[in-house]
Amino acid sequence: MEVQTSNLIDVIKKRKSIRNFTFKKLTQQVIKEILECGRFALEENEAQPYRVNVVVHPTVKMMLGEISPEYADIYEAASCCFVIFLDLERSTDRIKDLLAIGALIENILLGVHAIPKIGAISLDINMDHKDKIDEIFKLSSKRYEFMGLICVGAINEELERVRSKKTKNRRPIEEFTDWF
Amino acid sequence: MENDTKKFLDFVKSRRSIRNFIFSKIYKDTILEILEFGRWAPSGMNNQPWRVHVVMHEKVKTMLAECTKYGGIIESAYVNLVIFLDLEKCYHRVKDLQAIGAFMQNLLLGVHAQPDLGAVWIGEILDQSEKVNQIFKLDPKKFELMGVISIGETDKALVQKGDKERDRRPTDDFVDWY
Repeated sequence: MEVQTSNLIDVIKKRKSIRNFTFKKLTQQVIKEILECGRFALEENEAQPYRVNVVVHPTVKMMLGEISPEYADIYEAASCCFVIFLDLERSTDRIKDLLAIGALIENILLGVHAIPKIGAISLDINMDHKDKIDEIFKLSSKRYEFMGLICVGAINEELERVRSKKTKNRRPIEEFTDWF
Repeated sequence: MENDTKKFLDFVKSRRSIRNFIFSKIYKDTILEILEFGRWAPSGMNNQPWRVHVVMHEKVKTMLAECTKYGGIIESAYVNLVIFLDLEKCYHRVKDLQAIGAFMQNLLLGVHAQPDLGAVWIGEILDQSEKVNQIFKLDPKKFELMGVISIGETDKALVQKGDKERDRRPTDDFVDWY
């Protein structure tokens, strides 16, 4: 491994949610590169129980905005939104499925963060609306369960400086670790 | 694409599960460094609902190994991280489990960043969660088992022979564009 451990931990530590985007488009090549990172997230027995709908179309973004009006501006300015579903036909066990989705999301966020000048946020969507999201994509709720939504785009540095929240605190290691 | 970006993306994509270990000591500083990767995982409402038991004691490893058909891996790994969901910190089941998934993914990347070390996530122990809670005298109402990450020095000879590249679905298989 050529990459230094110290650089890697820096990438992971410095990642933060980006809420302010310019309208600049990302190329399909960049979007695919990000999704590639997700592909190599942890999972068990090649289950990879996920589906990702990549949304760039303004009308579809608007429909998402109607479901979560508080995020409508973010959808609009982001180059694309990744709408993430659990593919229930590939499901193995509820806990393992959800862990695999969490790992997929983290790898996507890290992939974005590694690319200069672009950023992402995983939005805290009200899960009561998950069936409405299935409806936008004409997906059967029996087959696909909405899991989360990531917005990706070019960072609006100026607005980020003014509006961005302070970096979040993390619990120290000794607070969540015991040794045996 | 810039060089550092490519290096990082290649690093993320090159992580593989390692199931064959050489018995070689891993120092506490290294384990702390791996945990530091986990510490920075994102969680909804920043609730960080994780608890880790770091197991190196042979006796405890044997007890854990009895809870899964992959016990051989747990015993041959120098260190096992037993991961629990801290139920008192939870706010939404789906989002809390996703946070644990992110935490574990970061731990695996933390291991992958250490020269010569490898790891595998063992989920085939979850149906024995009561027994595992018993080992650590943990109240199942407070802590729920999420899995074990077994870490050791990679046995390169065996990995080249045995662990063939696992099939991953191509991106197009799980992505639609709108």
